Parts: sequence; structure tokens; C-alpha cells
Amino acid sequence: MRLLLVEDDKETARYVSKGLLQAGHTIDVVSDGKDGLSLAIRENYDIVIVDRMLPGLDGLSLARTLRSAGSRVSILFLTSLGGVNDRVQGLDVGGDDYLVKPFAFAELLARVNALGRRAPMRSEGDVLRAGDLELDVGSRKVRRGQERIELQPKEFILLETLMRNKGRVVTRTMLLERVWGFHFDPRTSVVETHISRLRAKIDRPFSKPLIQTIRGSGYCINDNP
Amino acid sequence: MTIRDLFRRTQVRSAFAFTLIITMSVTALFAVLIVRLADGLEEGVRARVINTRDALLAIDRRYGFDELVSVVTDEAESIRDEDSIFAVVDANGATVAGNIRTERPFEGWRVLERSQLPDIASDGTGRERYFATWTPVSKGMLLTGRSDREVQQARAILMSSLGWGILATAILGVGSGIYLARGAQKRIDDIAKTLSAVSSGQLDRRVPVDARQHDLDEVGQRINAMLTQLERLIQSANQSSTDIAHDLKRPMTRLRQQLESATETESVTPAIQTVLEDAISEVDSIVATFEALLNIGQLEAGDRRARFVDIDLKKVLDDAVEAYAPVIEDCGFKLVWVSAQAPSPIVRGDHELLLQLVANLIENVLQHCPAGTTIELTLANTGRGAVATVADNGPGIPASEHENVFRRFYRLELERSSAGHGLGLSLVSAIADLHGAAIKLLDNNPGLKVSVAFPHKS
Repeated sequence: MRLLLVEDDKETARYVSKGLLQAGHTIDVVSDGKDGLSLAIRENYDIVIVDRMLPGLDGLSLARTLRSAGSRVSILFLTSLGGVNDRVQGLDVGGDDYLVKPFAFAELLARVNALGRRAPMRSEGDVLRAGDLELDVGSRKVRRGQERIELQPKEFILLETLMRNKGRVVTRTMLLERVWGFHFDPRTSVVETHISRLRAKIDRPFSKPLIQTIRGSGYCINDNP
Repeated sequence: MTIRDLFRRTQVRSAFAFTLIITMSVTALFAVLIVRLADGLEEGVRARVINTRDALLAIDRRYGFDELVSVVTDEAESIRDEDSIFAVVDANGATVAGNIRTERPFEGWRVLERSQLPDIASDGTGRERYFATWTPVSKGMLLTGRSDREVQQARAILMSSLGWGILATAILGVGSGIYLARGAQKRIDDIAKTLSAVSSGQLDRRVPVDARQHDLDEVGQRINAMLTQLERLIQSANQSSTDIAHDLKRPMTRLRQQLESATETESVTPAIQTVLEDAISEVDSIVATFEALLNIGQLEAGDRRARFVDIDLKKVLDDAVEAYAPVIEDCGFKLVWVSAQAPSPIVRGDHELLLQLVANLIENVLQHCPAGTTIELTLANTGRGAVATVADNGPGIPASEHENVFRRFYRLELERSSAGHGLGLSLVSAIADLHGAAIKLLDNNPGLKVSVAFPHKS
């Protein structure tokens, strides 16, 4: 994917761009908000990663201007402003995701991947597949091979989230936000517990487990683990 | 503003009181006027009676009794003066002239009612009274008298003036009272509206102030000055949070990046790897504490209220239960969830924050109670609003500590060493405050019960 990073801290910019290049993306880096805006308008990026506190033009204004110029590029805020209101502000001006510094690189990479290949608008008729596992979004039925599997509502959404990101890592924080609407870090193992319940239903009775734990990062579902 | 509201306003009440006082003074003034005027006019009537009598006595003296009888007969039949009454009786007491015949002589002045004098020709109102007196003449007695019609007319005019005057006073008084009240009330309403807007997060709102410099304008100006000061303080608090975030987080971010890069170096031994990972989680824990503090600060500033929408509280608790039920079970705890009868309570609020409030309370039980503890969630509609409770039957905390647990970084003595940043309940308290909800710790005999009482949605 073609990425633009607007970040004024040299060291963070180097760290992020190095990691994303290694992950196979191409990336342009600018440190000034105004330069970032004109590049984002001129070039055809998949994702713009933008800091909020920038020289020239702050990140919020950059995103707002980009949106009012009609750009539909994905915007990911990468910022040290992590208060409850800050994230809401970021999403209000048209940001697609919000990651607070300091961050684990794996978290950023997972979010970039999820944003870049965002599934098309969810439609009721969708049937998601991973290996011999089938999830029918419309009828809310899950089957693996010939066997029907009964899931709790949240287990269903959890599996759906993993399957929509098939082959890509979904981090614990992403799951908390997307499945449970938690925008805080619980001190108990909410995600782990639900994953283990889900595994008990869709993986344990079968020979090949589909959900993989990616150490220090999150979970991933694959066709051929 | 309804009629009932109107009567609660100070200005309307004062207007009524003033109207009453003015009405009473006017009435008293008129009463004195009427009494004094009637006295004077009656005196005049008597004087005219005496004038007439003296004229007739002179006729009697100069021309004799027969001439008197003749004059009185003429006068009595005259339509020129229908207010006068006359009678002449001879020495035998027989009436020989006049327009009344029924009266026997009496001493001094008497007031005769019209109804007692049926043979008077004049067509009065029927309510006139006559001031009359008998005087001896050469061969008998003479009665002269006069009606008080003028007095009554004067009194009637005064009474109707008084009536109209009172009506006008009342209308003017009440009307001006309501007018003034509406003016003042509009300003008071403006002030009240502005203050609620500010407390709901719109910090830039100000009381409209009129240049005419009424007393309420002065109050408005002072309130505005206070609001400006408040806005400045909040902005500078937010600004310093932002500055701290920027200044402190930049090195923290670099530190974490360096540690993370180090773990990926090929020469790292497993032992060093463990050290590095521990260091990373320390950094994360410092940042978490830091974020929690910033969040409490932002919540206390209150501008999040501007985003409040109608929230179904039952949905919030359902969501928390869905997230935590398996965790609670796996930790060896029991969960009981008693939801309110329909209709489920609706409050103005923020779903994300309310979910965090409930989650923090549940995690608090998981962290501080032994396995086997039952966690009971309830949601009830009470007359005063919705109440959510999170209760456990664990060891509880002493009543003397109840106040303290919401303090930042506060921990009970016995758990100094346990994990967590000691800000969970401060955050709960800040979220409750933001929603105007009252949070209370109660003894659950045994255990602890936290109740969060929401105000009526208004």
C-alpha cells in the first residue's frame, strides 16, 4: 500500500517508516502539517498516518481540510493525545482510526492493514469463509464442515471480526473496540476468555485449529494454518 | 410562563402587594372624603331649610298667618323647587297648607324618610331623606324641610369614582407587575439557560447583557466575568494537560520504541529478552496511569456533556454482562443480574463512559474479592430516577474508608502491593459526576454495594 506519514518527531518517523517498509508498504514521510496536506491532496495514498500536534497545520485541521476537499483516503491518527475527548475529536473530523502513543509497532501495523484493505460495506447476504468454517452474516449461522455451531451473540461478532480480517492480525485492543465497544484497557482477560470460549466451539472439536494467537500482538484466522 | 409560574415570581407578588396597599389607601382617602363632604353638604341643606323658614317667619310676622298659609300653599304647589317640603298646622293641630300632611310636630331637627311621606308630589328616587324642623308661628306651627338629594348625588358620584379608580389602580398595578416580572424573568431565564449551557460543556456561552445597566445587567456582567475566568482556567488546565502529554509522552514513546527495537535485535539472549519485555510493560503501566489521570481531568472539565445522548441503561449493563460473564465464571465468581422492569431507564449520557463505569466496578470486585464471591448487578426505576448497583458478598471495606476510596491513588492499607494504578474508582466517580449521578458505597452485610443513582432525564 502507499502510505503517507505526517510526523514531526524524527525518531518516531524513522521507526514507523522502517517498520512499515519492512512490512512491504511504500511510505512517504513529511514533518510539516501543510506539506502533509498538499501531498495528501495531490497524491493518491491508501492511508494517511497523521500526528495531531504538528508544525504548520495541526492534525485535526489537516484531516478536516482533507475531508472537505472531498478526499476519501483512510486517515489514522497517531498521537500522544489520548484522553477520552481527544479520540472522539479525531473521529469527528473524519479520522478512521486513532492510535495513542506510545504504541506497539504490531498494533500500528495491524491497524494499517485493517484500514487499507477494509472490507466492503457489510451486506446482509455475506457468507464469510475460512478453511471449512462458514459464517453467514445474514442468517447468523455458523457451520464448520457439516456441523452447525451455536454461538453467543458476542462470540458471533468476535468471529465475524476475525473472519472479515482473514489472514491479518487483529489486536486485542482492536477487538475490545470493535466487539465490545471498550475504549479502555480492562485489567481482566476479557478478550482471552472470549477467544478461548470461541475456540472451544469452532476449533477444539476439529483436527485443524483455525484461530492463531500471534504472540505479543493479537489473533488471526487463516484458511490454511 | 404559566399563570401558576407567574404567581411564584417575586415581582408579581410585589406588584400584587403594592396594588393592594394603593387600593387600600385610595379607599381610605375616599372614605374620609365622602364622610366629610356629606357632613358639609348636609349642613348646607339645613342652612337652606333655615333660610326658607326665616323668610316664611318674616311673612308671618309682617302679613299675618293667613298670608303665610297662602304663600306656603303656593310654594307647596310650585314645581320650581320639588326638593322642599312644607306644612302649616293651625292652633287646633289641623293641617291647613303644605305638601305633606302626615307629620305631627316634634322638637328640633328630624330626618324624614321619603317612604314616610306618601303625599309628596316630587318624583325623586324614593330613597331621599328630608331634613325637617318645626317652628311655632303666630297661629300654629310651620314645618320646613329639604331633601338630601344633592348629598346623595354627590355621594354616588364619589362612590362610582372610587370604584373606577380602584379598578384602574388594580389593572395598572397588576399589569405593570406582570410586565416588569416578564422583563426580569426573561433575564433570569437567560442567566439560568446560560449557566446550564456552560455546565453542560459549552464554555463559550455568555449571559446577554443590556447596555441600559439594570441591576440584573450588573449581575449578568459579573457572571460573564466569572465565566470568562472559568473558561480561561479550564482552557489552561486542558492546555497544560496537553503540554504535559506532549512533553512527557515524546520521551516515553521513544523509550518504548527503543526497547521494542532492542527485542528484535538478533543478539538478544532469552534472559535479556525477558528484561526488555518487563521494561516495556513498565513503560505501558506508567503511561496507563498517566492516561487515567488525564482522562479524569478531561471528564472533570465536563465538556464531554455536549455530546450526551439518550442512553438505555439496561443496554449498558447488558453489554457489561456480555463482556464479563465468561470472565466472572472463569475466575470462579458467580454473577446475578437483576434488570429493571420495563420501561428500561433512559438517561442523558455517554454509552462508552457508562460502560467503562460498570466495567470498572465489576473489575474492582474481581480484583478485591476471593473466588466464590457473588457479584450482583441490579438496575431499578425509582421515583427519583434510575439506580444501578454493583454488589458483592466479599470482605467489604470498613465504613470509615468509604469516602476515601474515590480519592486518586488511594489504596486500602492491606493491598499496597497489588497491581493497578489506584485510579479505577476515581474514574468511576468522575464519570458519575459527569452524568450528575450520585455514587454511594453501602455495606452489603457482608460485602460492598456501590449504588449509582442517576437523576431524572430532563
